[in-house]
Amino acid sequence: MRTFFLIWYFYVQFLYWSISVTVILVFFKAPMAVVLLTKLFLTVFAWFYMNETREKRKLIFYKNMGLRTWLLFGSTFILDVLLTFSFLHLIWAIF
Amino acid sequence: MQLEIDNVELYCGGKTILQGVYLKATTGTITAILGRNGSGKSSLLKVAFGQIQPKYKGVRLDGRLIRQPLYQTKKVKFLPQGSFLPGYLSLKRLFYLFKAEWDKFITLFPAFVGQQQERFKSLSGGQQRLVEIYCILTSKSEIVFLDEPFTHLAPVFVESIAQMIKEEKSQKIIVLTDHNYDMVMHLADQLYLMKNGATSLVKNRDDLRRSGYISK
Repeated sequence: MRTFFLIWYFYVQFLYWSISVTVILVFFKAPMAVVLLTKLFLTVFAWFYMNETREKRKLIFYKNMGLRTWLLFGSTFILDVLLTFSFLHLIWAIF
Repeated sequence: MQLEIDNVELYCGGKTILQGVYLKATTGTITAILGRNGSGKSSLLKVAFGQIQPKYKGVRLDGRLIRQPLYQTKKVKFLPQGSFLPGYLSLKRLFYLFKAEWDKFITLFPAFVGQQQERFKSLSGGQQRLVEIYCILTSKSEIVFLDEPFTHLAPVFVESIAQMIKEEKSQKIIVLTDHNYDMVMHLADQLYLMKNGATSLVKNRDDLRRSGYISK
């Protein structure tokens, strides 16, 4: 449970960016594969950015909890995809 | 438990940061690293914890080589120099995640009474540092790395933290660096001096004087 909370807290800082990107993709009626690839690219970019800049310091909190970096970003990607698909289904159901 | 760090080689932009390091620390002792700014103290702690990857490193626990980053063993906690806790989390959440005792904390630092729901980022710099040190020191671990724990703290809090470090050392390996030279000398059971990226064991103040770390 603690690990889930930690992954969620890590993901929350990217949530607004993720929703914004999803809204843009929905606006341009992007196919599902493009949405998935975009999310994958953004996760890899976030990983690169956090590892190569001073933002790396933020990972110390999660490392202190024993969480590996790949687990953190991998779980973030899966969580993001699940939430994106839920959001898309909701949009399609409404419109 | 015994922690040994050696064979560390760290380079950055063609410059040698660490080379010729040997450090041994055991449970029940406080091991301190002194050194001038830029001597490599923080880098050594980061390498040992697994935050930065050097060209070579040897980290051993009870003589057994640890090939993965040390943090993955879940035996170690690391307090870096700068603030590292997510600002949007409340103190209640942070204490839950670190399994730290809030009641004991407010007994030691009554100024925090009623602030359990506050977000970490709403605290002052000194208060943030106190929370970070307390969480790192008291949460379950076998090894604690403290990088400049006394920086940004009021003198009265320095005393409290020093007392906490003494209490925690019976169950843990504690390795710390700080520029508060008098406090470090007072706390440390063994002392290393870091110079030009290498460590040397220091026995007394004369050794520090000879090395040029202190002048008198």
